[in-house]
Amino acid sequence: MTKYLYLFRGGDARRAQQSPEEMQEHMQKWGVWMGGLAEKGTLDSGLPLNGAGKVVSGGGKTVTDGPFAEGAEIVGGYLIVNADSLDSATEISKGCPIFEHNGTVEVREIMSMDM
Amino acid sequence: MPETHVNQTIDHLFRHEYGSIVAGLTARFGSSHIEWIEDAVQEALYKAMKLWAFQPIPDNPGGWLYRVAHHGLIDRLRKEKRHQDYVGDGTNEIENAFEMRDSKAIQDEQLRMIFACCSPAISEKNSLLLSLKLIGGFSVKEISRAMLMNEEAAKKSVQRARADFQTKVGDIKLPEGKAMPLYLERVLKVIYLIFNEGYKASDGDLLVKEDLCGEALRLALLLSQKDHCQTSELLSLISLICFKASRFGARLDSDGNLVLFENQNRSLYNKEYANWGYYYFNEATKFGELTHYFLEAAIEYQYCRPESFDDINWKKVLWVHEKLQERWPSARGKLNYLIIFDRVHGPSKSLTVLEKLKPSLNNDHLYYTFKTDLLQKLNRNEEARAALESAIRLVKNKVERDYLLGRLHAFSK
Repeated sequence: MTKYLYLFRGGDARRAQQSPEEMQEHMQKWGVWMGGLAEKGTLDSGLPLNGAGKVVSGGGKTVTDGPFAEGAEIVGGYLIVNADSLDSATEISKGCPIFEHNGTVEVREIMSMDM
Repeated sequence: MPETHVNQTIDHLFRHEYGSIVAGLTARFGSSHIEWIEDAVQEALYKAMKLWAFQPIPDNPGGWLYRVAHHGLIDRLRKEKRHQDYVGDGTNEIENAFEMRDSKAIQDEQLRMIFACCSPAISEKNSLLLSLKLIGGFSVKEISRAMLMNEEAAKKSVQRARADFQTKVGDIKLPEGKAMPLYLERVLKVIYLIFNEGYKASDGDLLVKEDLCGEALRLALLLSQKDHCQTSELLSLISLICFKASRFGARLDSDGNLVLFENQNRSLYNKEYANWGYYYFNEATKFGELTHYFLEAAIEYQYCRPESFDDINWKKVLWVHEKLQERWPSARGKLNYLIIFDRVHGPSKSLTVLEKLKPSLNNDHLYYTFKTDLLQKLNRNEEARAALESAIRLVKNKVERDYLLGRLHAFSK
């Protein structure tokens, strides 16, 4: 099994506008989706990210407040999953509820020593 | 790591916490900050949504949300350099606030909020909007969907209602002494309006409408926890709501078409709600007062009790309508009375009385719908058709219009 990283981008602006009821529904969908991944042993770990942050650049001399990209592209969280191949990890990501809010998932293979 | 725990969340947790936390913060920071308070609670829910999607929901989600919203609000007040007035002797209050708020305090804050939203200083319509928005945690979009308003109009209405809340309500406290009955009357009226908005068979969003009915019941039950609110009116209102709610699932067929009361499948009635109806009706009977809500509940009692539609005791129903008309005469009430009168005395007598009502009900489609019924029973079909056409011209509700058009179609066959 290889580990893959899902980077969740975007969708936040629309989600912040939701009603309490819609937020709860959306949250429950994530829970169901991740619960399913956990049951199958696919899920490794993951966390959401806060909106606030800093960008350090210019050889460490320049520090600016986030966001680091256009609103739609801000990373809102990540997940690490176990999968057989990049294709299979990609397939699994299609069930992610982020697509309801026009967000995207970037799927990346995590490098490993046992090649 | 995440498990399927989120599925065990109680229904409407976020919506109810919204109301509960808005009430808690408004009780502490005052009605004039309502806009920032709502923002802070929305922000806290948003954080919870992101976090709890990845992690287990904490044991006391309400406490967590309250603390986060409280922090957010204090931060904002501080940024606006006004915090000195509200933070008091330092930040300890922020840390302690969560412990300080036990379930009794939460209930008490909600009650105070209900009375604040239903202050006689603001209009009934605004009270209704505020109750839905601030206590029920409904969004503007949901309100517009339930009440068939466009979203922009609903947004403006809510903004106006919020402005009234900020300027006219004052302290969030329970009314005392002589003011209590006056407030209570308004509160019950607003609860009843909320229920009726949800109960109206229209093409609004059915799910949200059902939630409106549930919210009305929740508010009424919350009120009934308070000793001096336990009046005949309140218990009758709860009974009335439960009886009507028990028929919710039988009012529309699978295609969303209106099913007339006499054609409803009684096995679809919700027995649990009906039983609550009986329970609260009996409680209300102990007061021996013929209040408006009690009489309305009495009619519903007569409707729900028998096994079949044919076993309904129309004479008793008519008697209750007479009592209602004696004390609270109205043209619409008279029409309802006549509909029952027809069942007891027949269409010919009813038509004579009905025609006397025309001046006051000239623009009411129900007047013409009922006239159609009577004329059809008397085989005066041409006149019946004309009455039906008038009804269709006046009716606003889409479900009802479809039903009437169906009847017109049947005429042409």
